[in-house]
Amino acid sequence: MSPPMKGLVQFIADIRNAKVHEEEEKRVQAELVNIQKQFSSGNLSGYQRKKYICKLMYIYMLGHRIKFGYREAIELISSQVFSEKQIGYMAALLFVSGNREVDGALIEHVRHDLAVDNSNFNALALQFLSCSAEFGQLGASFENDVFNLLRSPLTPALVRKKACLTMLALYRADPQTLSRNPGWVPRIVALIDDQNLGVAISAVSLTQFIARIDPILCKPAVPLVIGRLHRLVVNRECPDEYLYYGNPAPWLTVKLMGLLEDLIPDPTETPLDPANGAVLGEVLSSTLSSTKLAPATYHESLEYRNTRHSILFAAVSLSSRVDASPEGLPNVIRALGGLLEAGETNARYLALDALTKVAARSGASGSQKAVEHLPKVMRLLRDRDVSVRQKALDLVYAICDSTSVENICRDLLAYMGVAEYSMRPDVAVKVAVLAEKFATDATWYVTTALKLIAVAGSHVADEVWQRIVQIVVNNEGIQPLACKTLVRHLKAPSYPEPMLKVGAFLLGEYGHLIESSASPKEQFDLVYAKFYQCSFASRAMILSCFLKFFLKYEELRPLILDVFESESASIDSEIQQRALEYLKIVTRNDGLSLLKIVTVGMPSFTNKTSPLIARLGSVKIFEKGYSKVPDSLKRDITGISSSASAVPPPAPHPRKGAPAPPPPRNHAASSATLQSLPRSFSSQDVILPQSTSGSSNPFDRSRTASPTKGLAALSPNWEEGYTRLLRFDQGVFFENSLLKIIYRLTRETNSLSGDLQVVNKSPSQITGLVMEIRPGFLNSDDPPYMINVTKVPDAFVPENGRTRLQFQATIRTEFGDSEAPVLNLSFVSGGFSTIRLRLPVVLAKAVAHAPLERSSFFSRWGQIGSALGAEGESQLIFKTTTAFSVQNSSRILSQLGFAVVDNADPNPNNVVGAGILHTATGVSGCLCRLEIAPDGQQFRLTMRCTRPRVAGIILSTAVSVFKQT
Amino acid sequence: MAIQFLLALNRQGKTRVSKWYVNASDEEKWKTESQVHKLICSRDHKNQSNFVQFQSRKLVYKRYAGLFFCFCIDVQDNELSYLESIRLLVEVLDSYFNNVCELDLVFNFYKVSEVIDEMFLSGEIEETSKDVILQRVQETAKLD
Repeated sequence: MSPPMKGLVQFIADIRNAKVHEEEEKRVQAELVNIQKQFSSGNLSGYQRKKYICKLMYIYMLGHRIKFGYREAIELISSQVFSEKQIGYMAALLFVSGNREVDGALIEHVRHDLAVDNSNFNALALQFLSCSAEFGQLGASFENDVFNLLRSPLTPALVRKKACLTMLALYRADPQTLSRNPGWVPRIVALIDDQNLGVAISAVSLTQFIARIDPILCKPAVPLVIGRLHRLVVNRECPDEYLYYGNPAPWLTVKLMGLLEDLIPDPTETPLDPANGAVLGEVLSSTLSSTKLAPATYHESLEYRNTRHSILFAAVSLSSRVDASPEGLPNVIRALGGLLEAGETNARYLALDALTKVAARSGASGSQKAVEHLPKVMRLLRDRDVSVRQKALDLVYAICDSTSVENICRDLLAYMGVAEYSMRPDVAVKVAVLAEKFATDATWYVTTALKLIAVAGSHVADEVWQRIVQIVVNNEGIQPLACKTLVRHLKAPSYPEPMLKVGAFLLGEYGHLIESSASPKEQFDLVYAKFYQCSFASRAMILSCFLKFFLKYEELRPLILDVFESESASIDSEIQQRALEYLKIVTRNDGLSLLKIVTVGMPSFTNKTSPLIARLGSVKIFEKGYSKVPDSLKRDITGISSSASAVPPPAPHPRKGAPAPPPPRNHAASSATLQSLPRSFSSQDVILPQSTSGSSNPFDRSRTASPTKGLAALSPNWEEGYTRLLRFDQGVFFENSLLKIIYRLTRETNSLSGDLQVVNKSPSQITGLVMEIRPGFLNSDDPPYMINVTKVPDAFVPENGRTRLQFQATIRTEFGDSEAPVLNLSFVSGGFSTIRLRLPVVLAKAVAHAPLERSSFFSRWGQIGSALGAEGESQLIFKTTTAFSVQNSSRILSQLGFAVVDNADPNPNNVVGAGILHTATGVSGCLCRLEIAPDGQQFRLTMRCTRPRVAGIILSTAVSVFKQT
Repeated sequence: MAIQFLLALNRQGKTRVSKWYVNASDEEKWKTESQVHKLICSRDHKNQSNFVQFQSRKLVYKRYAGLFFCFCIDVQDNELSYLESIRLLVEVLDSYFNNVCELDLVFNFYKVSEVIDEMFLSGEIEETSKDVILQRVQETAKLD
């Protein structure tokens, strides 16, 4: 090691000895003054310069901003002494990343050091470039220099491996580098087979990046990768210095397997040829079998096991993707099953994770095989590590099917008692979904679901009990059973509150079905017993239950009247109002006709189906086309005969998928007049679950996988975000129950860069995310704009994770808004979904403010008029639903790219503005004049442009913004 | 992108090594570093795995004496492979500084940076042979 710099050591020691922060701060400030003085003195030796720059870097590491020293860093770079140059580059990076600016001198030094015949200097310049490629488009000017180092066989391995990874940084900074130089790819791919393993692993990373963009381009790499894997894994051919605890080049092996996955993104489309398939099969089975190939001395070391397992997990992932051998899946599952009992937490954790992925990827066959390990997985629910427990729960959920569901639910319900509180809601939701999804027996479902409420009660989300109610409502056959089971649960000395809610609702609706086994009085007592111990929300439900009882059971009426009367004085305004209104309904002197309407039986929940309904087989309707069945008909089928026959059908229910607000409040609002009561009541107490849990929920799927009529159909709701972003350059572009897309547009004259951020808001991971942008114009001979994706999104987005797509659009000439590019998005989250959205990349986005003098506006206006006549002008009179003041209108025009010219128009109610349209084929002026009617809702917008057609296009964009805002 | 950043933090949360492969402002870096420290310190080191979700990525970390070495990697990356990278890095530092301690990393921060640059570049693994790495850094030390 070269001797340390004494001044630096002293300085660091001083800082370390500082007892309090102020002391440190003082020392730093003194040093900064000293360094600045030294730098301005001008005659420093290289060594001194290096020392002071090092001090500056240390000060930066302490968390201070560095404002000077760039010039000295550059001087160090120009030194011929290695350590000086090294420190110079290190420091320069600090300045470059701070300012994002690169000056000419630095560029010249980098270029020189790349070209010079000195591999040490080459290496330093490459390292610098790899970190700074994205600043100030530094990379673009060096791609050829870097490629020359990369491909030349004369370049030492040290430089070649760094050149590979620097090239990767250049690609990332500007993916166009790839399309500019397609001829480079074969050269790069070939390096995978390089004798030097450092070069090989670097080339693998580089190839992987290219393969993720264009796997076809890298196809020739497949045999190279498989061959190299075979030599490493099966033949154990490896230079001694790359053996790591007896494992031959484990990092390279893992990387090669990962690359292969990217090279074969879809094995059904591009299958491996038999020869390569066989070789790969040998590699995989050799990895997955547990034979210990390394010398026995290593077997006990943790490092040996970790590296073996790292390769095993890579092979598992690869194998479940390409499945090269028929016995692939069982092998994978056997290997992973073994690891479930491993001593290291790491291995157990990863094995669970991998098994979950394999089960998800391979579908039913994988789940069936994995079920063999169920007892082990169940044991892991009691692991010492909470994250292992969580993973185990995920796996249990993933491998459950109709044969194992009963055991799994039983075990999970038992587990509920010992699980920590934070996990219980999750366990509850999983049991609820599994029970519903795989139930084959109605009795079993009802018993399990109510047992879940009894056991997990206070931990379950409202959606869980609401979903159970929904299913019972929809399945006539299980209603008596559900009521009987409820009565049993309600007789227990204590039970969680959701049980009471379910009880109040179901007994109110269907209690009469079990009159023979539980008398009305008994039911009343059961529900009323906890009335004063429960929350107001439950009390409100109990009151509704009693209202239904009132109609059905004459003998209970005096009791119920008492309750209503006493609750009319409740301290809770919601309860009070409800009791008062109910009292009024039951004491009206028109008999009970209004009550009959109000308490009409609960209609089926028709706008959401569940797999359970079909499986239980007791409801034969609504499986498809249910939305076409009129509400009245639906009611007749499932409504309780006593009430349904007596009353005319109520107005259709106002709900459509959207979650109803919490019942009491909504009720209070909507029951202000008695007239509105029948319409909004009777279903108020059950809120439709928005989504019970992730992957299996059929509702979410039906909403996102919109019926696309032909390819051109855009997804429903596309327009809202689109129009909003016509006006603004950033904001939420699209949102549904699974994901959200946030959009940001940066304008630079005629070139627009967009950033689309996809946020996964579904309760599970999103996989296979593919986003592509298609131009929306027909005539591709003379494209009006060019659009390129500069950053592709990750295909996998974890729960709550996000990924982004970036694009660059260049506006060449004018085009209508309907020709704007279209974003296609497809992904798997539970089911396969596609989304098609029009991107707000329109001509108006290339309009920039062009401030005009007040006096010159109308002379320009006249000039366009006389030069182009009708061709240069477009005008529209339109109305809006919201009113806009002059200020608001000015702001919108300004957001659309027009510089508003104040006081130019003699009428103060008019707004005029000037913009300049930048396209690659030229620049044109755009003037607009907006006349606003006094009510602020009627407008006449006139647009004049120096180029034909343009006025009409921008006018229509502007009008749609006004109309939609 | 594989490695987002590489950190070595001591138990008090002082950053001893910090290498970023993604573009981030100083403020973002400092904020993230303290978040990482908080997250890792809150974990049970005896019973929990060496991996933890962090934002949309994951951390792979390991404690050596008073220092946590930590990689932030993509979700699809192989955890154990990077866990062993930490091991390899520590072994190289140990040989280079002849029984390394936290102070070595403080006083020789620029050397540590050099060692890391020989092992990782652009967020990817560059060299995995301990011999090759050591040979290289010992060679550059003799250049002046």
